[in-house]
Amino acid sequence: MTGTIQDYAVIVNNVLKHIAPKVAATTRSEYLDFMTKIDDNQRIYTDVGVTGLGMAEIIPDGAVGASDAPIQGFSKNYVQMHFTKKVRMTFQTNFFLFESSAAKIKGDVKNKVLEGKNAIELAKNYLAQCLLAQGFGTSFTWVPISSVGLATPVSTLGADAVAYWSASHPREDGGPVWSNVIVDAVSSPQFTYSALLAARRQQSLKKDGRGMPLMSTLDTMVARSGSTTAQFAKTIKGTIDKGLAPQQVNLFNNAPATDTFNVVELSAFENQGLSGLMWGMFDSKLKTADYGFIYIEALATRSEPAVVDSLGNQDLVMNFNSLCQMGASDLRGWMWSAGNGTSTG
Amino acid sequence: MIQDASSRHISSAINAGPGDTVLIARNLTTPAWNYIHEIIGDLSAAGSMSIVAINSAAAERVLGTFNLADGQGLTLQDQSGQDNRPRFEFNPDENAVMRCVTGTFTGSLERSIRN
Repeated sequence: MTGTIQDYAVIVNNVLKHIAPKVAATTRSEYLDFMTKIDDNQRIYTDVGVTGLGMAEIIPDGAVGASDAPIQGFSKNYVQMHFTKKVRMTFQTNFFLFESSAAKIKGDVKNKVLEGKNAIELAKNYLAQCLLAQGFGTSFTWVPISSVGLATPVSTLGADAVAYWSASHPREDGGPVWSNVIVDAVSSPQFTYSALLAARRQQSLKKDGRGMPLMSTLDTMVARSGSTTAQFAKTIKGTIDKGLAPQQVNLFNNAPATDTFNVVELSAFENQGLSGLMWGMFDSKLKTADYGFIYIEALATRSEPAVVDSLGNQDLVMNFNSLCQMGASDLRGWMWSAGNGTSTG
Repeated sequence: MIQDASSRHISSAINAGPGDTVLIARNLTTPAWNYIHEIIGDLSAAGSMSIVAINSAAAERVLGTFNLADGQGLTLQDQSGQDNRPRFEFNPDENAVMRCVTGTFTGSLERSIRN
């Protein structure tokens, strides 16, 4: 929309006393809670995997050992996306709201309501959690929530060319496929103590590209802020932190069966973002440029100089831009559940 | 000790005649697991009563079948020590259905949701 003076009839009323901004107090870059930031100034960032060596062997005296070499893995291109926000106001709107000596909107309120950097961080936060929520498919169409702007197709394929959350991730050495979908009697269970134990059992069985143990432990849980899942995760975490098991099957055995964990809560964007039932866990030791989700930034969010549309109607135009991309190549460090008891990946 | 989390428990009456009666309908607009913590009641004529989960593709999971005598009462409750773990659990795509072959099951249901 373009802000014309008629859109602010109440604000420019000459007796108005107080103008209260209706925006979030702060916008935090919460995608960095589960993504690794990579600074890269090129338009295309390519990563390709390479395995280590297989296990060593034992030979008799004088025998010749078998030769081994690393195996080239899967590769993926990340092409920078352009996040932008444009603000447009007519000449009178800008003058009477912000510039006149009787300007209605004070500087600090102006900063809050015209903060395009927040708008861009919100888009990044939302896209990041959409990647988690939509990761059972191979792609989805991302639409900004405020219905200002275009729909954009987004891929949710890892470097191995299967969906982020899949029970059939191929292994570099051609070994058995592996899964990062949580199964606790049913696929994609809701979060419970039992599902936590199941996820950690599955993670312990993960292998590297040569079939060797990944030696990974899920230590961080992701859920939607304020959901029953997040609330219950805190109960379970608190109980484990006290040295107690969050269940009472046997009164003489009430020590927890697993270690504590951290909880990362992501804002409730809803729509294509996290539902209250979705949850997942990752190994923070595998939150690196090599494993897990990455955020590749070529241009941090910047405000362009405000310009007057001098060829047209003299509207004031402000632009905010960022060039970045986000996604994942190898999600061995993650386990995920749609929380619906049915998604199998 | 807590085993699972759910909403406040809600009680409602059961009056299930012969055939399938939906005790709790799926709500895919606001997906939630449905938990049944307790069923109390009796069957008006000798026959069998089943608790069945039926999903939107009409696939069934039979969670329990009980052969009851004429007027026989039945109480099904959560396992003690497993707080809030439901006696019967239904995923967000499933209807909770009571299936009576003969007679009418009359009683009470205590349920909650997890969303």
